[in-house]
Amino acid sequence: MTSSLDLKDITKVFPDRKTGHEITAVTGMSFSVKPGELVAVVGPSGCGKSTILNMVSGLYGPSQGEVLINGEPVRSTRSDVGFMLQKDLLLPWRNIVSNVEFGLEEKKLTRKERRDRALSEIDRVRLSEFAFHYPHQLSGGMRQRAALARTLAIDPEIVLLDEPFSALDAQTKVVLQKSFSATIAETGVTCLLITHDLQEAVIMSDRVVVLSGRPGTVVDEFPIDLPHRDDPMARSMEPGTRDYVKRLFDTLHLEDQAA
Amino acid sequence: MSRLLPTMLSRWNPAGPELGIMVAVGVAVIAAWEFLPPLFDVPKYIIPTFSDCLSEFFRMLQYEELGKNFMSTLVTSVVGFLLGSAMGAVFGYLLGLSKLWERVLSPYILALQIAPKVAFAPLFIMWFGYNALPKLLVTILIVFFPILVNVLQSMKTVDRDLINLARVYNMSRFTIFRKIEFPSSMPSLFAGLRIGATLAVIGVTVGELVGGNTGLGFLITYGEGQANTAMVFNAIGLLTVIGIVMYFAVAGVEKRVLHYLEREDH
Repeated sequence: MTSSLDLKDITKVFPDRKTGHEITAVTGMSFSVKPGELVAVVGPSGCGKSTILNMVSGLYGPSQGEVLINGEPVRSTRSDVGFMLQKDLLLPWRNIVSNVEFGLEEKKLTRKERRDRALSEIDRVRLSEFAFHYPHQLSGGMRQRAALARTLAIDPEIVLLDEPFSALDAQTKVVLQKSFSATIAETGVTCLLITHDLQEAVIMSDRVVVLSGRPGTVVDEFPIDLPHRDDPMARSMEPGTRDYVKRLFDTLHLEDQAA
Repeated sequence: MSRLLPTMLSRWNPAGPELGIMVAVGVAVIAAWEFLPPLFDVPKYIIPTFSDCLSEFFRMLQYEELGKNFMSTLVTSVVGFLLGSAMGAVFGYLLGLSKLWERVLSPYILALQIAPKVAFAPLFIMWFGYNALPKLLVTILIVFFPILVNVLQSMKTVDRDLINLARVYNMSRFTIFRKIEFPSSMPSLFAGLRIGATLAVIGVTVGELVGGNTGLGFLITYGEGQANTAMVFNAIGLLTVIGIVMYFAVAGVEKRVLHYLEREDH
């Protein structure tokens, strides 16, 4: 259930269809995530955050370097990686329980096993009473919780979270960060959280990796030495939190940037 | 049904005064139609009055096999619509699955889509003679393209992230089609079907106008030949009825299939 993730000296070059030039999205990028660890990746837009996500999930490979899960190179999509985006990606024509079953349908399970597994995940994110509702009947926050249930239902080795809270209003976001942190801590799954919210990176993770602008590469990396990883609200009250956010702020040179 | 009817009424229900005005407009138009032409000495072969049309309607029922002609047009419309939309949908999905074929064939599809399909009617009559086949073919042809284009368009705009999600779950190409692309295309397919339902009636009518001996379109040319304007009016009215029935049948199925979409009237 808990696996390590290593990115070793990754470079990814894309051909640009319009100009014919090549675009380097990330270059010489290395960092790793230990089993059960939650690492937050922050960086300016265009630093190749989505590229990392796609390479780890095996949608495409790096141009150079290697992505290793548990020491094994990722060569194609694999069913032990779960990913979640800003969009909930729930299928509007399916109710919540069959949305959660979606990822399980390629696994060798009986209908009953699948249903039980889905319902227990739905219970974990406290959506039991909405199991047979359709996505449009749920609020944005509830839909993201359903998406988390779908992500965790496949019992992933690694969960990739790509700005899962950025489309939500401020209050929903705080509540959802808390509920996600608790759920992730409970499962003990290895987690990569891609975000542009510096506060979120500090209050939710064990470690933060800071990327530069395009082409993205690691410019800083430090552990968050604060209690309550499973409770971001409590952690945000810790006096040390502000210093870490400040450090990120400085590393990204936000003060020098014009809007 | 007993549960459905009240909600249908409540959805359709314009507020009291609105409904009253709606009915009043209808009554006023019919009254004008009935009384103004005689008042201005407009002859019956130009504008037959409402009551002329009604009595002609009953005469047609008795002497012109109106029922048989109506059914002929209705059946051809429905069959042509079903065949045309099935073929349009199949081609749309196949082209949607193959980027190469879509690119290769798109200029020809565009050309055929622009070509006025009803103009093919005389050609089909030359090829297949004066029977039910030409009008059926015109109907299929006219229904085919809007559905093909809608389905193809929807296949091209399926959310890439959903497909990536399915790929990460190790789903095969066909499974992705079955579980993501096909259901995603439903709203566009139904938009196409609604257009197709009204176009089908046009296809049949033109087919019957050009060369037929049955159907409402035939009654229009027949009435024209006899300067029986009331007959033409009635046939046009009944063709409209067929179009409306088909449109609402499609809309009804759509409402059931796409029940999961957010609607304003929630």
